[in-house]
Amino acid sequence: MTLRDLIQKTDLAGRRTFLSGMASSMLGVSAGATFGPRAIAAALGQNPAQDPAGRTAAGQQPDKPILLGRASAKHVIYLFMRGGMSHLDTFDPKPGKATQGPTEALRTRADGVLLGQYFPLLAEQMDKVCLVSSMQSRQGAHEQAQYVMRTSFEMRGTIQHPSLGAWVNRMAGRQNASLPGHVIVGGGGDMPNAGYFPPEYQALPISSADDGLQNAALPRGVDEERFQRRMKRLEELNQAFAEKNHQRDVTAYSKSYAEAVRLMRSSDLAAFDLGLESAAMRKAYGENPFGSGCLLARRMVEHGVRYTEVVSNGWDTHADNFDRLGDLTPAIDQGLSALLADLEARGLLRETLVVLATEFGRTPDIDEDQGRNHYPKAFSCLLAGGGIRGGQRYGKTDDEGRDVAEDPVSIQDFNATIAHACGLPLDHVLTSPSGRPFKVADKGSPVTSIFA
Amino acid sequence: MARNALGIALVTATCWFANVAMAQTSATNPQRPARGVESTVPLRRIKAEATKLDSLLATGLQRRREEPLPVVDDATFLRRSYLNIVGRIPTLQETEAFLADQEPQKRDLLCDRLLDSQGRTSHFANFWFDLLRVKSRQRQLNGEPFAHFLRESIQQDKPYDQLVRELLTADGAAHESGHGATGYLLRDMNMPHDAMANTLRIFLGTRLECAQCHNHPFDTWTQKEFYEMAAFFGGIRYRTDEQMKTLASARTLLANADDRTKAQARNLLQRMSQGISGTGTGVERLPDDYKYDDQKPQSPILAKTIFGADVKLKYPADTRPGKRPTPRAAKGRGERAPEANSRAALADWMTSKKNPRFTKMIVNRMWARTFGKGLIEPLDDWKKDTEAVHPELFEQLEKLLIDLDYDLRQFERVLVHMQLFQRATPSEDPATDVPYAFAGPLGHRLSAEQLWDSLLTLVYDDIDERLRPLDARAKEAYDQYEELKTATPEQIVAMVEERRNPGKMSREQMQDQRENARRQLAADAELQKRAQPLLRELAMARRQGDLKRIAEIAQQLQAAGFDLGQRSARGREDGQMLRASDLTQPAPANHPLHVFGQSDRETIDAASTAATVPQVLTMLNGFLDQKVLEGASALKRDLETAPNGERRVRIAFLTVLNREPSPDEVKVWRRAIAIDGEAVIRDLVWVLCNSNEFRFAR
Repeated sequence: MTLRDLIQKTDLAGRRTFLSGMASSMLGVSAGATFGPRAIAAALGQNPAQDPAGRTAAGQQPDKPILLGRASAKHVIYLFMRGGMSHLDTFDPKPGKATQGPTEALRTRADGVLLGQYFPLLAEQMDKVCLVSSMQSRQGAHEQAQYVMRTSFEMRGTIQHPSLGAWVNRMAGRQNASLPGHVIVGGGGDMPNAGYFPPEYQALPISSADDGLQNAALPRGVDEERFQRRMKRLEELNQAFAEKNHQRDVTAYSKSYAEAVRLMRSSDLAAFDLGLESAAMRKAYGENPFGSGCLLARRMVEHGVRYTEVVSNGWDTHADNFDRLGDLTPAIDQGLSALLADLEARGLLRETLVVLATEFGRTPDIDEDQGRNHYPKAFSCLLAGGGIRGGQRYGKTDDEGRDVAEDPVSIQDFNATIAHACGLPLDHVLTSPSGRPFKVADKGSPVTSIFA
Repeated sequence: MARNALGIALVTATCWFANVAMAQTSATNPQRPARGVESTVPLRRIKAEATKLDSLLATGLQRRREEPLPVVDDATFLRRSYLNIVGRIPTLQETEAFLADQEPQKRDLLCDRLLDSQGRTSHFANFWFDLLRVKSRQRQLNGEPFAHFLRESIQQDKPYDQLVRELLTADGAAHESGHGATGYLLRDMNMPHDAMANTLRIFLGTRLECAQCHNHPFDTWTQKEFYEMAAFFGGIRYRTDEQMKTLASARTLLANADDRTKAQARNLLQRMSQGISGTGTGVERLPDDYKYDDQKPQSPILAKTIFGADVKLKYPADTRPGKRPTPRAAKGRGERAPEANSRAALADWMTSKKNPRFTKMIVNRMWARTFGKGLIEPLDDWKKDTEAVHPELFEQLEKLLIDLDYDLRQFERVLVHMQLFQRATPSEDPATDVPYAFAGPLGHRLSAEQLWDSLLTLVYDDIDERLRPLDARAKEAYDQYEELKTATPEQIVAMVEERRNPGKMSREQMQDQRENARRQLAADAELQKRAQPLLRELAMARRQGDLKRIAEIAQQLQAAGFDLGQRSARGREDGQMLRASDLTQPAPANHPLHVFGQSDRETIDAASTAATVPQVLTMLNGFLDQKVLEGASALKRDLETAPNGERRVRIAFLTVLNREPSPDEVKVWRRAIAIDGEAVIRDLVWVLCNSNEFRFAR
């Protein structure tokens, strides 16, 4: 299936109808790899079985069909506090203890569940939220810790593991075939992404939510006919190059071009345009990168994107921890609270799992620079919506927030919980191109008791 | 270099040499090396060294029963040399001159000319910026002095061992001219442990960061060994004391000011005092939760090297009455403990020719930079049993760099004079289960910087003459520092008050505003449902960029109670049409460089060359039609002044892909012009720039 065929064989209106038809037929499907060359071939009425080798895009034997379980969440919004968020000052305060420092604790709408003083707005939304306060990681360096958090596997020189967003899309399929299933807002290009999965599971990076998706419309003076002519010639030139260069990276570009053209023709492009939100709405989410990211994530959910990540930077508070939190937290408090309230007002919170995560916590002991350092032994994350029972805290640390005292949750358990909410079978094995077997969330087991 | 009035038809071999001469005498050029490569080491010696390496590689290939790949044609060699050495494709003029040149030695001469050119400083700077995570702005810290220091070190051919020594032992105020090297340790400000982990990784390929918290799970390093290394950075202070007096009196004057003024004063004063001091105590304390039996938590640990030679530090005697003269660890990062020059001792050990990994590490990085992959992979995660794919070749490379006194320009010169540099790239991905043996260099997608700088080459054919002076971006920081340094406390207070931003709200005000905004949320969601048809129209108008229609719909929406607010399109950064090394580091998120995968400089070597949709969209609909095919672009000018259609087709291929079109390609495009007219040339340029042939280096 070449890009040229794709363009030639589908007129604009016909394609749209077909793809949206395909999208609805894909809801709740049980076959893996619902998107990709096979799906495109299917969309264009070809029989994918004609592929002579009967192989999938990754060059391996087709995997077994994936049988999905009952999903309490159709979408995931994953908010990542990059750098290591202090658990004591945010979601696991220990009032009256020396380790608490100057941060005060705040009562919330959920009985007995306290938050750090920086979250007055979230306190109002606690009936929707489950705090997970017994997180544990084995990694205390940023890169390694972020990697395991987002993939469930330890970092190795020899393999790139797929991120959870790629797993969810690979196993549960896309909901809206004309939009990518995985979007990352404000993240660095170096984060683990599709890993060893085929390149169509690569997330769509949106550098800045306010700018949205740039360059999605044809430039002035280029009409559809001319664009098609250009694409046809491009395909010819690329074919000549591909005959001498069979590298995986080269093939990946053909896929990205097909994906980009599909996206340009999507009737859902408005999903990326925050200019269509009212001034009041933007103010409610907060007019800063994180607030805009949350608002964009809500628009993604409305348009059937499975997995949206929003990255917040700057949490590595080695010095002046309390001042820095004073700067960092208002945007999070406001953005997250607005997101929860807004999703609920739209009836979307039931089917959307909102996750707030970080790579590790910070030391209970405050050092001479008013700083807290890396602390993987005990930290907190947050889950809301998507079938989670609100108003609770799962797991406990000891009196000073030093060690997990009850119900430890490993990174793998946490990711297994997200996968479970999405109905993914945790024991299903997918093999990497080199033939190594992997499961989503590795050996993690989900915390099922926190679901309603 | 600037295009002259000679016109393309006159570009001949003669003109080519005239250009070479011009380039060497240009006085305006800010980034030219101090001495030409040939005057430092004669080509003869370089060729002899390259031949030695080639024959060792040949032996290695024979052992693997592999044949070297064939030598590439002139066009491929030309493009490869430009991309590898100066980080961009050649211009039309440079391409035609080289292809027409009959000089048998022209490949050698080209490499040497490029090594001497200003573009090489720009391209090599990108490599260091990426490895050392250079950021123009890091909270209160301006990173430009560090970038300036690196550019200057490259241009002056500072020996690599000396460069590393300067990074490890730098001190002084970060924003003061001449102290740019402090930017290295300040990159991990207040995190001396991370600085040590990064230092070991960057310069010795040794990953110790896991051992910061526990014994390394997959290697042999213990947590105690990590602390022994960390002790070399013991007692580092992330500020200079010079300004302390001024600061103290300014603080007194500010005591009665309101919170916001105080906060701003703090920022300003912090900027001034940021820097590095402390020669290193050579002591570090184990963490509270140290859980192994050999030591108690909190015990002081003395500096000790993890491999190679031992280092003896001279700890000063503790003169306090009743105290034993033992080394003492600083309590906080502000406190002073007796100093032992441990940073200099670390630099001695690390940069010693006897250090088992120091020279190997940079040799491997330089090799990977030239040939697409290291002789040792991964580049920076070496274990005790790590071995290069061709050990004899690797040993010779190490010896060569030492013989060249760590001159990286000459080292690179030997590499590009190897036969290997002239060989074809393999057509398949190399196998992953055996190390690659280098039958030829590896192809790869151009780096974000190469891609951007190459696109700029289409727009400006004098792109290297446009490079800015090395200190252009740092000057602002230097000037401000000088101003602050000589100011009295009263003047500092005045400056703070002047800089006060009256528009900024207090935290309480902001919170009130947020609460109000949130109350409107539910109401707004309803309204949005009702406004749906108009919003759909608005979406279309915004995609088409129809400003008039946008304004109309916005008005209708406002009448219906749905206010879009005052939101103008965000302006793009001015002057962003500069080479990557001259832009903000890293480039802002909406810049093509970011979209092409430039490193975010959060982690080491974090650049990406993966295909992404926004990247493709930029090439399909953005940059080309807006900048390359419009305005005062060099390519557009060349096409417009060409005498006929065939010449235009050739210009497009020669400028974008740096090769002649094949007879078939000429035929296809001439026919297209005959049918659809001359506008087809725009399509041709667009197609060439979007092609994989443009995007991938071979």
